[in-house]
Amino acid sequence: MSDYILSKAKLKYWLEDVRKRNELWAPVGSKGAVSYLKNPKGENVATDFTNSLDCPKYIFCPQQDAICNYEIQGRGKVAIEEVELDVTPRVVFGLRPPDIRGIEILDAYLLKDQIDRRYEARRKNTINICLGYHNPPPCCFAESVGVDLFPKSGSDILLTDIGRSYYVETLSEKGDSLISEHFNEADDIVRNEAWDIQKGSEGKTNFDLNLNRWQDFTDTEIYTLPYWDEIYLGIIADSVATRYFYSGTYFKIVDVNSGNKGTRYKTWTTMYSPGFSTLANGYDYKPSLKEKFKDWILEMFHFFPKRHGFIGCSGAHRCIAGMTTKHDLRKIISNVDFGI
Amino acid sequence: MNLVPKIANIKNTERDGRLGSISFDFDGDLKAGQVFKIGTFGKGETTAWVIDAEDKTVTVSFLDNNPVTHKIMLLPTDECITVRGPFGNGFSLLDERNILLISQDDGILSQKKLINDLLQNGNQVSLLHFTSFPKDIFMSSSLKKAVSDDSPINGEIIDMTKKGPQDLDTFIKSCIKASYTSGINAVALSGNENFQQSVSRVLEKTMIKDKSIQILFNRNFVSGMGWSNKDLYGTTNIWKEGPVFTLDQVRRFPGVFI
Repeated sequence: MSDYILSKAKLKYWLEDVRKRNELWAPVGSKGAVSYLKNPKGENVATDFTNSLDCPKYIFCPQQDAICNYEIQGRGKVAIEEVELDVTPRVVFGLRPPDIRGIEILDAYLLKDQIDRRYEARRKNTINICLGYHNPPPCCFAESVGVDLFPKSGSDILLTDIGRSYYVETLSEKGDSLISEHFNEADDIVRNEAWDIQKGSEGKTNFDLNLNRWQDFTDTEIYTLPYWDEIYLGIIADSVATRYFYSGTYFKIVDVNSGNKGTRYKTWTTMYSPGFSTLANGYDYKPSLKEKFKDWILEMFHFFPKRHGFIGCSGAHRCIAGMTTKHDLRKIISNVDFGI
Repeated sequence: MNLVPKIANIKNTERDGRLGSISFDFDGDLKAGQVFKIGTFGKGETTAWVIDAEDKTVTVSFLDNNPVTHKIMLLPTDECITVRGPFGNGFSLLDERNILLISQDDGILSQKKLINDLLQNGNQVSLLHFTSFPKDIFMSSSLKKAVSDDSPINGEIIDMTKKGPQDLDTFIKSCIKASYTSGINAVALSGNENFQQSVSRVLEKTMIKDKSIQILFNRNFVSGMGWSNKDLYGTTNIWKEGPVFTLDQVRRFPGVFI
């Protein structure tokens, strides 16, 4: 693939061009409160933020994803019309490296065991532009969970902020297709400058989570550690948490109707939602917050890696800065007491 | 996975206490322990267990305890319901000779078809049904008929309210007499997890092999999609690989099941 240089002054013009031909999603807002919005004006796009407030999984997997429309036409007669797959050409600008990992986590859930065709269609028709992490926030622990701050895979274009310009690396053919007259060829001076920045950022988010200790224990030994009996105290079980993380999501089907017509949706929420673990007969197999919190932690750091080969946490720090726990997740993980 | 449901017309609706059953056309092989997601537009979906399947008609049963089932039970014959499935692997016991079926409360829903299939296949069947509601037993007429003196089934209905202050393990142990477990080749077990744990602790002390004990592990088997955290138990996707597992498989699940 190729590399280029894009002046920051030209960024908004490029994004305007992109917006004319695609559905553009880009971060908008000020430092503390940035969200990805659809088709913002190029001049409103934020680039000097660390992480968006909520994870941008809703771009690929909307919280209300219409499956089919229906019309009850009389007794014994219902007309169903499947909502067509969303193949809108889409560009997501400014994804931060933890969110690139987040999309890989969603891929593992939605494209491996059972394929979600609606998600698959969106992924295939979306071009991801990653904004390298030259400015990770202090509580971010992305590298600890294996996230590269300037990832060369998972996105189609990688931008490295080198001051007045961006060093642009196209990582796929889809990425190449977005290169326009606003870009100039990169030279060795720019490459070296970008390389220095990329190398200089290494280790900034590398908090030692002591995960290598987990390998010495069986699933059951880890699952039954007395440590989990206390550590959950202080957790805020909040359904809003669903916006902050990629793992721990669950889906259900909801109908919304008006008169004799309606739409069936696939929706998502979190394992902290009421009724998450209640069976049809009323039996709740995870009645306590302790179990749910433990499951969430172990899913991200133990079971997900066993199934998919990488940690199911994006390391974006949203759960620390957000609302799910009063504790620091990094400390919870690194201080797991194995009783040895 | 296709989330767009098929439409089926109700052929028959029946109520038995808190249980509801409906029949609709379905062409295909079905096993006991498999489920359909049935629903009505405007209300959503619920899980229903296959209890009977013959002549291209399937009968599914469910606890009538939520808005979806309430609505379905009010629908007249020929009215439409939404159907997705069947899902799950189901019990595979037809090749075994002497089989012990153990169920608790609504766990009998997943075993109803199994009883019929085994009897038709000529297997020797023993049945132990534990009920927490002795005055309102699930499928009471079918169960009482099944354990009556003139039935080919050797079995009984056990009142769990008589457990008293003793712990569940002791109570279960006193109920599963040696006469039920001797000569048994395979076991089907369904019920809540604490019940399954206690029964398993009793069975592991018998000659029955762990591989021959099939447990309906229906935890994490409710979403109907197979890709959410709700479908996972450790590294196992219950929706994809279950919900029926053998005891030796369940032992490998993390946690405190056994």
